[in-house]
Amino acid sequence: MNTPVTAPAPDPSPLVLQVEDLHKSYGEIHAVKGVSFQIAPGENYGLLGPNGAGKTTTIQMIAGVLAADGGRVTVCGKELTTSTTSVKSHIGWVPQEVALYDRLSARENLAFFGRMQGLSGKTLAKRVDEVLGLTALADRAGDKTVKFSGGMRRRLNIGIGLLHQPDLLILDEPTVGVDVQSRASILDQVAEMTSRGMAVLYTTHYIEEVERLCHRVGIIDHGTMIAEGTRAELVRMVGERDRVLITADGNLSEGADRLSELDGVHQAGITAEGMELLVDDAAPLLPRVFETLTRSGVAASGVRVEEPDLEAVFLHLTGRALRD
Amino acid sequence: MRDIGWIVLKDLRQQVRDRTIFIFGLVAPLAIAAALSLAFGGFFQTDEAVVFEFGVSNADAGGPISEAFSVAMAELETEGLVGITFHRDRASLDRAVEDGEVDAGFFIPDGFSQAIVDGWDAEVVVVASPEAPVVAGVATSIAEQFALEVASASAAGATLAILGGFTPEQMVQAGLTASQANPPARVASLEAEVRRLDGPTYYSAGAAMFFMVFVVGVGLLSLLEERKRHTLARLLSSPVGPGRILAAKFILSITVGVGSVGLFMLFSRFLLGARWVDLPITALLVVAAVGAAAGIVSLVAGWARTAEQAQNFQSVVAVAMGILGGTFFPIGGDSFLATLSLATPHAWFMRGLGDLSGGGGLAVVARPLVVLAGMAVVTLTISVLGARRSLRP
Repeated sequence: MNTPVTAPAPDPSPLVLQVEDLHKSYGEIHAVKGVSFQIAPGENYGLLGPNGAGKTTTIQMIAGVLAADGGRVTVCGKELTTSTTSVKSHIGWVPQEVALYDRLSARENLAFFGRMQGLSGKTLAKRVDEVLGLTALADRAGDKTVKFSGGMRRRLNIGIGLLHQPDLLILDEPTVGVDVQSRASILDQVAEMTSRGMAVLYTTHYIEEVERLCHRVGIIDHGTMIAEGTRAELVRMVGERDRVLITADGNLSEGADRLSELDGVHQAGITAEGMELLVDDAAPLLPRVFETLTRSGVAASGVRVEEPDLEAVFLHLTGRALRD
Repeated sequence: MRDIGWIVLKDLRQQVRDRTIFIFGLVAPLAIAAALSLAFGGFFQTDEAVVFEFGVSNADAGGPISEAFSVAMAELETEGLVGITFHRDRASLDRAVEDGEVDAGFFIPDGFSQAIVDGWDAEVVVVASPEAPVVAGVATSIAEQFALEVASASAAGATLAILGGFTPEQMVQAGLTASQANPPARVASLEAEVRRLDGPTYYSAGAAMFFMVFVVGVGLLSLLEERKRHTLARLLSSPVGPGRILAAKFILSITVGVGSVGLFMLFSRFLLGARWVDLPITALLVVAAVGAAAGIVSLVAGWARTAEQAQNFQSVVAVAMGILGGTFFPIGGDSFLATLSLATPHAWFMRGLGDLSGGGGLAVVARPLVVLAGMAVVTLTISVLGARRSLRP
């Protein structure tokens, strides 16, 4: 069920990013098929999709790194191509892979990429110091990055994207390989940047990050945007139900048959640990569920109710798990 | 343009910290040049006990200048520097060379002295086997040295006094210095000059050129390395245009190539005794040779998809061009290999330095310089166009 879902109308304020009907092919493979979305100032937009869905290709075209075969990318009202260099200064791109020079120190890396963004003199020195502070690397500023831990390299990788205070920050899986403490710090920073009016385009495998940070979410699969909206809109649009996971023992077969006859229960199945139900609303139904199980000779030792989330939405739309 | 400079500076800083460039640009060529000079420098030295047997046939009997040549050769024999046998005619001389009775021969044609006195061109024919390039070079240089003395004496109006400034030691020294020469059949003009490198200089120039090829690939390799480490994508996302990134990489190659050869020349001057003459013109030759080598390496390595693959391609090119270009051993004569060697910048660089060693400045190196510059322009243009495909994330 890959039918595209209509997105809600964007904020009427001037858009930072406007992506229209973007296409990209590699030989016979059509990697991106007409992707369109918009981001307003101060908006955090999450792009969700499994590996190979076309997220990174889309992001590379938006960052001006990869030429699109068709469609249009407009940043702060100016059309972007791989050769329109002036528009690129509005964008801060943090690639998925750590992109640093190992034989240069953290300060030298920042200074170099700052110069590439057109910063110089006191402005450059000030921003380098600020970013070193922001990424908690001030005390290691003179060390070569080859000596850094994975988390420190990730933080510096993000810091480089922030150096020139771009209007649009593109974060491609920024927390992969980062320790829990650093991840929390990164997420706080992203939230703060958004609150200051910076637009953020965020991709991640971690659903909880998108749910915590992003105002709107686009779900991409096989190069096509299959759904877009706020978290609540997406969940509501697909009509996802509660999943009730019961740890149980006994006559599970009879219990499942009886439960499936209850009003409000759409599906009852047996699992390795017990039973799984799909219900409209779990809370009022649970007492009747346990009563029925007892009558059927099933001993329940635990229950867990899961609210629908974006992963469930993706599962519902594509029939596959997001992290397949 | 400033961003190009920053990219070059950043790459130079990384190269210096890596230190590999010093090994290929300085340590290795010094070691190889020293080893080759020690092993084979004897061909270039005058204090080695090398005694060649020469034949002389003088058809200009009674001519004052040809007689002077015969006397000078006899004097060389007296001093134990060479062995001399006189032959009655050209056929006898040719046979002696062919049979190996003598290493090479000199034939002075009839009317030789009169032609010089009348102001016409005249020639001393050197007879040598193409299979003995070293002795042919010695013989040619002796004839050339004689020609030089005659030309100088003629210009001063003192044709008959030519032996005054022409010692036997000088003749042999000139000949031995030029042992890598082609095995020519004749010296075509009395205005010919001695243009050969001495041993330490020859092997220093060869080693510099050989290892420079490993060094000049740094631009393209760093581009591939940047792609591997994803910093290229980051650069491409910045306001720096792709063309400028590419320009910076090629400037890096030329800068590192010229810098390493320059540094090597300085060290080889003091450590190996290499003689680098006419430094501004030598610098022009170095820049042109580095440009040509960078272009060729980039052209070949440009086919590589990874930095590792490019390094392998670069090594193959370096070794092939080094051997073919005569950086380790002279490739002389009219052989196919000698002709083929002219396809390498190495051969033209060595030739240019050789020509320059005899003096004459820019005029005498114009041809090698133009050929090297042409190679550089053509190969760099093609490789720049080809390298654009490397500019992707």
